[in-house]
Amino acid sequence: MNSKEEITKTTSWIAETFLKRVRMVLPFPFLDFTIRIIDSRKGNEFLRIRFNPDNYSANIFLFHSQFLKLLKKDRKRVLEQQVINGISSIYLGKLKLLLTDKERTKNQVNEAMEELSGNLAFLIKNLLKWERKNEKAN
Amino acid sequence: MKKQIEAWIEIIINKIIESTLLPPTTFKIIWSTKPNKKDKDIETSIQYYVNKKLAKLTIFPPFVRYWKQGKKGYLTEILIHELAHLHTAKLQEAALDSKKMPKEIEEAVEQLVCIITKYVKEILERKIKPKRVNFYD
Repeated sequence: MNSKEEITKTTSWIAETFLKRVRMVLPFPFLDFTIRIIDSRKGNEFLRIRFNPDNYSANIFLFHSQFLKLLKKDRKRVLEQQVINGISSIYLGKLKLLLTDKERTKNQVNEAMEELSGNLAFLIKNLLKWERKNEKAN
Repeated sequence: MKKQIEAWIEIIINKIIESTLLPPTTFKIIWSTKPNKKDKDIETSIQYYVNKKLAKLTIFPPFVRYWKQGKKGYLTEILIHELAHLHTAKLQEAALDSKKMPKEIEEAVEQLVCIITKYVKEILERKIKPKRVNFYD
């Protein structure tokens, strides 16, 4: 398999995982994601997700060599876990950027916290929905 | 009526705490006869004291109005949102306190990331089909 084919393979795998499995747990209005291939052989990092609060989209950075190694070894579970870990940055929303800003105001922090609580409430609501369903089934 | 509402709130809060990763908390319900100063439509507000593990839940008149209309599903969602603030309280405290070190903020973020990851994994593993909600829900 040549390099171009390998890139296509990794890109389609991550796009499919994101669209079919992970996207449904993302808070609305999460708009879009872009996959960016990083051709670096340094370090062990193989995937990073960065959320852009301005347009509610995410950049998925794939460290291609490291990613491909795991994909070839069929370590899809590990890759998927990394995607799940990465999406917490989407949940944290604009807060993550705000925390590095020393000039942040009380209002900005409170507003970002309110959004984050809304996102957490989304997850809690869905977990409770499952509990209710489970209770009824039993 | 107040006693009835308080008993219902207690049941809902216990249910939420049992099913999620919320920290063990003592709740105190405060009744406000006047609407919230910032927004008259707000049903509830919560103040959480991280060190004391104490939460003060204020009930405003719109909550009682919805209760009378039988909108318990909606009010449950309101309580879930308020309880989600228990997760963010530590970070909020750290982010607003200029004396706190970046390391403390980082730790609070890390704690939140763990919680979010755990929730997401559970939803995916249980194959729940999440209902979409707004960022500002």
